[in-house]
Amino acid sequence: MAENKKQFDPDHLFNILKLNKWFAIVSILLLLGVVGLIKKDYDRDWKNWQRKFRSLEIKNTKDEITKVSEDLKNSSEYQEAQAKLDSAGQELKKNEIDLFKLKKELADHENTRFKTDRVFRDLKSVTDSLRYELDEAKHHNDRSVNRIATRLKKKEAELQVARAKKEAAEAVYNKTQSQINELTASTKAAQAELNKASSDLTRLKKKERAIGRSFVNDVLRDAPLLDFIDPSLKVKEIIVDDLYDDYNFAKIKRIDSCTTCHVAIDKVGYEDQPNPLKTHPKLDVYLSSRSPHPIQEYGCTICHGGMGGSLDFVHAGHAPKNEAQAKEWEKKYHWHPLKHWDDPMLPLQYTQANCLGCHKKEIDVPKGDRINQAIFLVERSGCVQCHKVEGWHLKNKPGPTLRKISSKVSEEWLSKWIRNPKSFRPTTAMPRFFDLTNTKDYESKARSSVQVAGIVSYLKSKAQPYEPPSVSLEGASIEQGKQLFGDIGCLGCHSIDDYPKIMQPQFGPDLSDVGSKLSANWIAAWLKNPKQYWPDSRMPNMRLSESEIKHLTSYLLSKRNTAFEEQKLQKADPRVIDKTTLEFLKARMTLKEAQEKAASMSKEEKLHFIGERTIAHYGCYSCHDIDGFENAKPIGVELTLEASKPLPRFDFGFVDIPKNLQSWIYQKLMEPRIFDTGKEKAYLDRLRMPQFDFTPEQAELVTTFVLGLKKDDTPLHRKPSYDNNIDRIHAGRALLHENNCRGCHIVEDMGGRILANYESARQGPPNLKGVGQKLQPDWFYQFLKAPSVVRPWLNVRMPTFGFSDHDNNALINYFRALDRQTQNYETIPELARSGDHYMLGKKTFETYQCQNCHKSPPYPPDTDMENMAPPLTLVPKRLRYEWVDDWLRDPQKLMPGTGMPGFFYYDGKPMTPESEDEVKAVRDYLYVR
Amino acid sequence: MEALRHTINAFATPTTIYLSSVALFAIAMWKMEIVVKPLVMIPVVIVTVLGTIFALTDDHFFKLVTLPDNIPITIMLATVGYFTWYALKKGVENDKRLSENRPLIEQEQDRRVMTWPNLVYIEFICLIAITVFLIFWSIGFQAPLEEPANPTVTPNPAKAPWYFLGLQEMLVYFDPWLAGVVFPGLIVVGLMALPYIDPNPKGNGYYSFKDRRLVIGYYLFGFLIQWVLLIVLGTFMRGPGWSFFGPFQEWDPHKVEALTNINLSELLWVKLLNIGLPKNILLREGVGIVVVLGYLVALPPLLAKTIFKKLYQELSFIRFQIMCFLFLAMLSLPIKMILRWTINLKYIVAIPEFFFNI
Repeated sequence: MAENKKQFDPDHLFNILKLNKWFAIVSILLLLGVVGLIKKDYDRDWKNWQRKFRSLEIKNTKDEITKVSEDLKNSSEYQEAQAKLDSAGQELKKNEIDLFKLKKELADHENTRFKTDRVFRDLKSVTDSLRYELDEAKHHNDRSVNRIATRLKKKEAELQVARAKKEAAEAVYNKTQSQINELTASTKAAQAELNKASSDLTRLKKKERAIGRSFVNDVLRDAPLLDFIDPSLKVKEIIVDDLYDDYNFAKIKRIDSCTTCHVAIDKVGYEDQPNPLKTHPKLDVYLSSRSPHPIQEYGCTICHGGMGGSLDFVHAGHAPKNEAQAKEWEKKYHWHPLKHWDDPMLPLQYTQANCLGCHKKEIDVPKGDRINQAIFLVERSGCVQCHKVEGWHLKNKPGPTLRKISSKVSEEWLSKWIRNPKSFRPTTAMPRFFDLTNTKDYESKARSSVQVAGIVSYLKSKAQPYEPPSVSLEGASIEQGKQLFGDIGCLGCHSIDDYPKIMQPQFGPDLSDVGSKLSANWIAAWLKNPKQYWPDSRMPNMRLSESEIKHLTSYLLSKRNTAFEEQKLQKADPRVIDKTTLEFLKARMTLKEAQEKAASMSKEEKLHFIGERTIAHYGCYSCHDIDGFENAKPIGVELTLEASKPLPRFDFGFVDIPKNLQSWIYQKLMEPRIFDTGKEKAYLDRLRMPQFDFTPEQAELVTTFVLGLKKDDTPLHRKPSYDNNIDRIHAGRALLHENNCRGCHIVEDMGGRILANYESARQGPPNLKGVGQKLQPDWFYQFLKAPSVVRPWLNVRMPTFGFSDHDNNALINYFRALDRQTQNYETIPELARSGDHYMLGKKTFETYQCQNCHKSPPYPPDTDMENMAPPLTLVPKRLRYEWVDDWLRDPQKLMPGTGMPGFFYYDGKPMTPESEDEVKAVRDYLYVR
Repeated sequence: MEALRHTINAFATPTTIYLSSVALFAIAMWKMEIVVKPLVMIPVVIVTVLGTIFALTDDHFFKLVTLPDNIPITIMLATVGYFTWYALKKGVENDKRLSENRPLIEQEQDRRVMTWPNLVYIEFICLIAITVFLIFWSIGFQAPLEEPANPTVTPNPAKAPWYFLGLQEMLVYFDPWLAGVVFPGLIVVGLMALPYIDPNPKGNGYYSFKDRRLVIGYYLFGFLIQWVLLIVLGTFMRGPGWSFFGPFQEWDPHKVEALTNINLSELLWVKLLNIGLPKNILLREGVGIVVVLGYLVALPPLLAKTIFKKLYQELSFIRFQIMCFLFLAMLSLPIKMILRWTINLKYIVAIPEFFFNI
């Protein structure tokens, strides 16, 4: 047996020597373990980044020091100060012996002063305490009262003596000190001047000392166990006072440690460094103390998301912008998606989603170019019509009314259009419902034909009669129509193939093949007054003359799409009609009832029924006004809190994409029915979202919007202030969007897309900068109601929008709010038509030949319309009195690029002493002329 | 490889795993002398190691096993296996010595030595070794933290701490008041009662198997099959929605399983007799109540008269009653499992009116 072979030590069960060896082994391992722990702590990513940044900073500082010293050498200020200091030093040398003596004396006096002061203070504290004791003794009727009182008296006398001595010593000391000061005054002044001139250098040198290479900085401060005293490598935290992380049971102040690695994020000068040592690319909007979002008040995660407290690349929740970056990160940082954090960072292209957190329901988020584009797309595509999003419902349905559809288009055109709108007009906002990924098979196609026929049958039977008056196109010219189309401003909203596309996507439909859709009569009636066919139409009245209507109609009629016209219409198979009817019926009644009901219906009835159910199934009424669906509820999933929905509630099906929210939404937008792939589903159970044919860029934008729809826990006072002014601005911006004002005008430095079609900006619609302080509200109101000619040289015309009083006021309030105008009613002073002031005005007016450009109608035929300016007859009614003199002083300031020359001021200063008087005189002259 | 994985996935159902484990357990109990031999164990270990290596090539399985939460469970499996084998091997060895009239292992080693260094030194070395192990573990793996707890969002799957997963598995077959309250109580009380129930002096102070086959089997069945095996199932095979997944199957939260379980009363009154459920609760559940009472009250005397005759004489009445009650309570789980798998039985007694279901 094994045990018997061993030699037993009678006292020991085991071989102690062997145990000693084991002991040694485990002890060494323990040491290794401890070393490993220290190394792991020492070698953390953020420490390495900070080390790297320190070398960068040292290098930068050194460079700056050389640069600043170089500059100093050449700076006259510095040279002078240096010279002064030198000469003062020379001067001082002459009095060196005196100074030496004085200094020695001062030291002696200092000694006496200190001693006497000490004696005085001691005595003072003794008397204070005696006073206290006396009070106490008196209060308790103690016998010691007299004794204490005597002592106090004695001490007080001593104190007086000590005080006199001390003050004498101080006087002597101060005298000597002032003598010294007198001698050194000039040197000191020179030194102060020099310091001031070289303050930058001093600051930099101080910084270099603080961060530079040294034994203390390099070794001691960050050594293990010593690094609790004053480490140079530190976790940096931004604690934002009123933003909280919701841990469900507790709300914890939000702590962002991002700057621990992103050390230079708010420092200028590191723009070219790779991340994380890079400067934020938009310091004017974020982080810097002058931006609206200073780093100490907002932190990082409020915009970017992610786990602010984490010091680790992966756990911070970094999100790659695409697959390639994900691959790269996997290699570099062992990146993987963060599982246990509800709010991972948003990939770069989606960051602006978080603007919506605070800038909620705000139209045109300042500097939020992506989110603004996204909102435009969402409005145009009608996303929020089917998917309820609180606060985002559109006032007007994005699609046209279908109540009079029979008179507008043919049945055949309608069928083909519904089947595939993009085959007629590739840029249309109307999405495609049929023949998509989950309805591509033969059976589904047959059903689609039946459903399309059903919709057409339903719409036709419900259509109200409407007969546009007939027109003859005699004498109409396609060429002139084309010319008109380009000139009068149609291109502000529409595009057409004869003109370059200026805006993608358009506000109004592309009209390149409208001739295949509409009849001459209908077009003419529509152009004359769009509101009579469709009262809610956003198309304004262009105030076209009969002949203009004729030209435009014939031009539009000439635009045809032959490929679409030749497309074959797919017939509805009667058997499929029966089957589809039954299926729809089955959803609402028992099998038997459904069969009986189906048997009792004629083919027409069936089609009508299928149409009604299909419209309900696909929610067509969300975007179009359809008879019979006035109160129908939208069919889509509510998206108000979509981005806060837990990920497992999203069905990724069998689609191989990264399992995160943004990928799902993006995929859904690109291929709405894709998540049905590989699933057995009944036709009516399949996904129904239509295909919008978004470009990848557009899909990303819409995804950005959806990602912004989340639970809102930002405190109210964080949000942009909702004062009266802001409310007015938002109301106005909503109207700008609704009516596409920016298609023509530049408002708040955005828009004016039509201007690309004109040779110079002067030929296009005016920039509306500053109209709030420029126009009198009364005139503005009249103009919006019924536009009149202000700039006679323009071909483009301001349409009649037919605004309601409410909208009109909202618009005027908006422009005035932009310019902080609050007085609606203003006095224009009574002005005399004679006197010096009047004469000066007249003279100045004539001297500068204002009439040359500001001619009033009627214009003789040879007028040079190119260099015309608005007629001055409009001034008293149109322009605000206060504005006119501002304008005269500096037109370029109010409207950069204006053709109006500045006659009176240059660089903010009057050109002559009389200039200011002249301005006022001309202004007043304009009002009484 | 792929085919093998599919086969294993298809084989891995609660039924097959549980029943085959019980079968292996029975064989081991029956032929322990052979099972503990290195000649048998070494191939078993090799097959296990190779099998594990093969399994680790699967992405899903690899992620599952290397999850920081699940590493202790993996360690536990190895240690439980080793120590069980070690004890049983010694027991078998002692049995052999007893039958050959040789002294026991323990008797041979019976020498008295000083605590220092014989005990303390080794303990000290072990202490350091374990510390080293923990240090390296903590360097290698981050704490498996999850997102902040949210009362409105339940994680899917919602799992108990790993050592309670056996109890959670019971919830599949029993109502919470049984699986969550009564049975855990019985386990604790039963474990405390064990020394008092068993008056058998054999095996005291030395390893043995043959003389205590029944008691060891009783205990090991409860521990290995009812506890450890259920933990393994709960950890590695129960996925989202508490659905059962094979070891190489992706955990799909959208997996749909048919739920067709029925109660004993429905089975009896509706399916067999075809007369509909009686209104009276007692009448409706009468059969179930009789069955349960019969199982707990009538069965012990019957057992005492038949297969446990010898045991009954050894234990005396009260001990036998307690032992039998605990034994039957333990067996109720496999019985319920088998009823579930064979006739889709949901509850034997189902009185949802009073939240009383067995």
